Amino acid sequence: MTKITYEKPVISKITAGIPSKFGLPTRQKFIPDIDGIPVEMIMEEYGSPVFVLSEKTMRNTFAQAKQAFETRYPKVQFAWSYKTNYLDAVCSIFHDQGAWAEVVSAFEFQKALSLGVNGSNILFNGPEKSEEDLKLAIEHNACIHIDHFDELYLLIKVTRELDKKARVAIRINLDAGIYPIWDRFGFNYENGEAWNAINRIMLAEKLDLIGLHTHIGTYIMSANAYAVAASKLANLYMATHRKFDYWLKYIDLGGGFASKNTLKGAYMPGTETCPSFDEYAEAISNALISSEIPHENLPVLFLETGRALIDDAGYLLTTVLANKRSTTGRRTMVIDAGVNLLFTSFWYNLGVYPTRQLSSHLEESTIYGPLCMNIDVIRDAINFPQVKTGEKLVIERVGAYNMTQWMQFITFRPNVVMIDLERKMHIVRKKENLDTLTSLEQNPKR
Amino acid sequence: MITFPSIKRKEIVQSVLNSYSQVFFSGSNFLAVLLIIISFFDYGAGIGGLLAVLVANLLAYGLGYNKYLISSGIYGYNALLVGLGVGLFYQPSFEVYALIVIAAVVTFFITIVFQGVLGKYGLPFLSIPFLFGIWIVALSGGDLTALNISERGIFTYNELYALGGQHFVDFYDFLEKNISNSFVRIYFHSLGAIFFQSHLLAGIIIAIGLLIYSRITFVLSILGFSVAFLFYRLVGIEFSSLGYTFIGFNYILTAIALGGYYLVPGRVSFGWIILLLPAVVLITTSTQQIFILLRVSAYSLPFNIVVLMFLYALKLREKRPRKLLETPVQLGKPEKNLYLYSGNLKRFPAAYPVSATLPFLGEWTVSQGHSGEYTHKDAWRHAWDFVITDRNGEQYNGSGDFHEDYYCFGKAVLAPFDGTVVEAVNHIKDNTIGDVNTKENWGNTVIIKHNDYLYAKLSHLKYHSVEVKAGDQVKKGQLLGRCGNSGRSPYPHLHFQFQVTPYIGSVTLDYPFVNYLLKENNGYTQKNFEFPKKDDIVVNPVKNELLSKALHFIPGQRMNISVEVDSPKEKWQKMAGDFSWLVQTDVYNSTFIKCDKDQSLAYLHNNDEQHYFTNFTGTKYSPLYWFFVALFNVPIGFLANSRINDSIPINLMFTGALKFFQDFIAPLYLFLNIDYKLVIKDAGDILSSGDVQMKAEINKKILGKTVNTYEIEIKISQENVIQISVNFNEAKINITCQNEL
Repeated sequence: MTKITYEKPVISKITAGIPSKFGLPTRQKFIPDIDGIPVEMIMEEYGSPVFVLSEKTMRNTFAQAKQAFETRYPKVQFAWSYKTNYLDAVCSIFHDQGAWAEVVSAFEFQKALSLGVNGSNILFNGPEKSEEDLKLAIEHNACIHIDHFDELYLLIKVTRELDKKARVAIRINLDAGIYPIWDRFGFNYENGEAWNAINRIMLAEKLDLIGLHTHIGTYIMSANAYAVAASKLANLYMATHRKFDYWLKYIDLGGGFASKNTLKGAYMPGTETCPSFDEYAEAISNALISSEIPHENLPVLFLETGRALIDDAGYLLTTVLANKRSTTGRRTMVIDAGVNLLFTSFWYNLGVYPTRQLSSHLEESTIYGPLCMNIDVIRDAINFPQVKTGEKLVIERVGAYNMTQWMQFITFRPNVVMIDLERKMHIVRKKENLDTLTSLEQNPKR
Repeated sequence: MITFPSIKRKEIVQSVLNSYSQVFFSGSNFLAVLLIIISFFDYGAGIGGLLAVLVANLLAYGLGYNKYLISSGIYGYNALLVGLGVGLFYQPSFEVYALIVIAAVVTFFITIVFQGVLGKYGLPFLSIPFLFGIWIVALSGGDLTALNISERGIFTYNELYALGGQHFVDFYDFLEKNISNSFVRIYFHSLGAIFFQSHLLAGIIIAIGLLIYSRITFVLSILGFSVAFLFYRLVGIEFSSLGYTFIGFNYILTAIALGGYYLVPGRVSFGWIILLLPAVVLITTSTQQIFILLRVSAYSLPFNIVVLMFLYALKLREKRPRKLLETPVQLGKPEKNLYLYSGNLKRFPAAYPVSATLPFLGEWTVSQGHSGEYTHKDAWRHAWDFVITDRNGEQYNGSGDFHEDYYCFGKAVLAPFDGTVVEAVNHIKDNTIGDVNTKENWGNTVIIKHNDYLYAKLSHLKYHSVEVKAGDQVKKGQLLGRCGNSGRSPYPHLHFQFQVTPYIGSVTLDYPFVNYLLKENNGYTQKNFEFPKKDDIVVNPVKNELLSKALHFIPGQRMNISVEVDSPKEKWQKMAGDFSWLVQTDVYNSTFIKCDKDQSLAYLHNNDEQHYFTNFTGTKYSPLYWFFVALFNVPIGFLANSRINDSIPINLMFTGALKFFQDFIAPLYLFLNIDYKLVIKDAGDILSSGDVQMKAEINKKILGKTVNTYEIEIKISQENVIQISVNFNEAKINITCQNEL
C-alpha cells in the first residue's frame, strides 16, 4: 500500500454563481508522454526547460489541411510561413510535404534558399524590402508581393536596372466583415487603390503580375471572413481578365487560421470554438468555385497557414521551482519557463498540465515564470492541483511563434528537441551557452 | 491523251517491284526480285508479266491515281498475274503481247471497279480482277486462232537446259530425286503455281524468299497447306489432283492473307486458319466441278471467296474485338503488325470516345470496386464506391456517428466528361449513419448523357445539394452536387457507374477512366484506360502547361537538332552533328516527325491528356530514333514522382538471330520484351514555372531477364528546349531539340 501524499489543508471560498453548462472538470488532464516518449525521459536527457516538437503531429496536421483543401478545390498550394517557426528542421518537414516558402525578410529569404527551396517557390511578403532584397528576389525569380506604391516604384526601377522581369502579386487589404480590419498592409480594395495598383502593374513593362494576395488578419475565428475575402479577390481577378484579357495565376488568402489554443478572454475553450481546416476550406472553395471565374480558369489557391499547422506539434516541458502564497492567500507557483520563451502566453491561456495523475482537489493558482520581472506570468488564473517543487509540467500548443519570437533575456534559450516518425529524439536547436552570446560581442580595450 | 507529267524512274521501279511482291501481300524488294527471276524461268511468261505490270502502272500514273497506292503495287499485281498466265499459255509472238497489253488494260479497269465497289465495304479486291481478266482471255481462247498454244511446260528438262545448261539440269534432277515426299513436293508446286511455274525449283525459291521476308508468312504458308492436305486425306478427296492442278496455292494464300496480313497474327487468327481451310477445300472442289463445264480453271476463286467473306463478316461485329483484330494501318509485314498492335492493344485497348475522368477533386479511396463484395454484383457489377480516407486509412474523424465526421461528406462531385443531364434527383434525405433506404435505393442521383450509348450515374448525393437539373449542359469537371448519404448508403460515399441507358437503376457498363494517378508508397503511377480497384487511392492528374506545350507537335513545325556523341564505336560517332526535323501529317491523318537528313519517321498521337509515339521507321543511328524511344509515352498531366509503364514494339530494338527466331513463334508467345518506364522527377511547380525533368528507363528483356538497359534523362526547359541524354553500354548521346522560330 502506497503512502498517501500529504496535502496542506486549504480553506477556499465557495463561489455559488451560475456554473457554466460544462461545469468544472472533474478530472485533471495530464500528459505523461509525447509520441510515446515519457516526459521524464526527455527532460532527463535534454534538461529543463526544453521545447519538444512532434514530427508526426506536424505531418498529420499538414496532411489534414492539404486534404481539406485538395478535396474541395482543384489547385491548392501551401506556403510555409517562415516567421511562425523557421527552425531548419521544421521548415524542411513542411517543404518535404510539398509546401513552398512564405518569407517576409531577406533573412528568411536566405534561410529558405539555404534549405534548398527553389527561388521561384518563394513568396516574398512584408512591408520592408530594400533594393538589395528586391534584387535578390528578382534574381531568384521569386513571387514578390508588393505592399505599397513606393515599393512598386522601387521595383520598377530595379527591374529596369537589372533588365529583368519580376514576377509580382499585390497585397490587398479589405473589409472581410471582421474586426479589426487590417488595413496597414497592402492596397485597399474598397477605395479602389488595389485596382489602381493592378492597372499600373499591368502596364509596367518589366513586371509580370501573376497573383493577388490578402492577409485579413490573424487568429480569424470566422471561416466566413475568408469567403468574403475570396470573393472580393475573385472580383479583381475577373476584372483584370475583362480589361486586359489576361488570366492571373493565383489567389493567395494568406494565413490567419486559428489553432486550438484558447484566446485570453474567450468564454469557451479554443478546441470547441475554432474552425477546423474543413470549415475554412469549405468557405474558401465555395466562394471561389461559385464566383464568376470559369471553371477551367480557376486560379491556383495559395495558403500561407503557419500557426494552425505547427502550434499543436510544439510542447514546452518545464519544472516547478517553488510554491508560494500571495498576500491575498492565492496560491502561486514559479516554473523555470517564462515569457522569454513563451511569447504566445501574452495572447493565450496556455494549457499547462502535470505529467501524472495528481490530487483531484484543484485550486485557482497563478503560474509565474523565472524572470526577475513583474510581467513574467504564464497563467494568471488556472485551476491546478497541489504540486511539489521539482514536479514536471507540460505546456501544450506552443509550436507557433514561440521559437521565433522568444527572447534571449536574463537566461539562455533551451534545447529544442524533435521526435521523429521512428520516435527517435534529435536536438534541432542546441541550448545556448555563454559563448553563443558573447561571441558576437566586442569589448573595446581601454 | 494520256500524259505522264511527273513520273520519276524511281517511282516506276518501285511500283513494278511492289506489284510482284504484292502477290504475297508484301512490300519486300528482295522478294520482288526473286519473283521476277522466277517469272523469267519461262521467258514468254516473264516478258508477258512485266509488260502487263508496266501497262497497268503507267495507266494508273497517266490517269492520275493515288501515287502512294501506285507505288505500293496494288494496281499492278492483278495485271501481272494475267500477263503471266497469258504469256505462259501461248507461244511468244507479237500477237500474244498485243493481247497481253489489252488484257492488262482490261484488268486494270476491273481493278479500279473492284477497288471502288469493295472499298465501300472496307474490303480489299484481292485477285478478283485477275480472275476476270484471265477468264476473259481464256474463254475467248478458242476464237483467237492467230495465237499458238505454248508447248512449254511439257519438256521441262529441255527448257532448263536452255536456261542454265547441263549443271542446272543436274541440279534440278538432284532436287527432283531427293524431294520425294508428296507433301513437300505439292507444297513447292503450289507455291510455284502462284507464279504459273510448274517445277519444284520455283516453289523452293519462293519459299526461301518468304522465309527471309517474313517468318510468320512462311509459317502460315505451311500451316495453311498442311491443314488442307490433312483435310484432303480425312474426307478422301483424290489427292493427286492437288499436285496436278496446282490449285493448292489457294490454301497458302488464304492462310497468309487471313492469318497474318488482314488480321493481326495471333493464336486466334492461327486457330481460324485451321477452321477455315477445310472450307476453302470444299469450295475449291465444288467450284472446280462447275468450271470444268466452262473449260477454264477456277484459279484463285476459292481464296477470294473465303477471304472476302470472312473479312466482311468480321467487319460487321458490333463490339470492338480484343482478339482477331483487323490490322488498323497496314505496315506491310505480319511481324510489324503483330509487334506494334499487340502493344497498342494494351496502350489503346479500344476506341473509347469519351475520356471520362474521376468525378471529384483530390485523393479518394475506392471502397468497393467492380464486382465488389457488398452490392456491386451481377448486372450492377461494373461500379465504384469512392470515399476519402486519412493517413491512417480511416474514413472519418471523431466518433463516426455523424455525417460531418466523414471526410467525403459534402465534398464536390463533378461531371466526369461533357454531357447533358438527363436525370437529377435531389429530394431524398440523408440516412442516419448505419441506416439504409432500400425504397429509394440510389438516393439523390445525377445521370449525365455523354453520347447515345454512354451515360454516367452518380448516386447517394447529399440532400438538396444537386446543382444541376435535367436538360442542363455540363462541362467536364463542373460541379454537380455533393457527396452524401442518401439511398442505400449506410455511410457517406459516392457511387459511380457507366451505363448504356438513361434510367436510374440501369445495369452497369464495363467502361474505364481515360487516366488517373494511383497513389503508391513513394509517388504515383499513371494508369490509362483502367479500372481503379478496391482500396486504390486515386487522383486526377493536373495538366502541366509546359509539357502540354512542348509535346504538342504541330504540322509544319520545324525543329533544329544538335547531337553530341561519346562512343568508341564509329557508327555511333557518325550520329553527331546538326539535323532538321519537320512535323507532317500523312493521308491517314496521322502525325509524324520526319528527319530531313536520314528520312526516318516517328509517328505520334496526342489526345490532350497524353503524348504517345506510336511507330518508327528508319535506323537506330538516327537521333529521331532516340527521341522516339525517350518520349514513347509521356502523360501531360501528372504530379512529381509519378511514373508510367509501357512496352516498346520489339522489332524496333531487337535485330538478328533472336528476333528471327522470335518471329516464328511470335503469334503464340513473345519471349522478347522491351519495358519502358518513365519517372517524372521534377514537374516544375503548380504555376508551371520551372523545368520538367524526367527519366526514362528502357529494359530489353529475354524471357523476363534484362539483357540491356538504356537510361535516358529528359529535360524540358521553360524555353521549350528538349534535352535528351541517352546512356547505355555502347555510347552516350546528347540530343538538343529546339523549335525553329
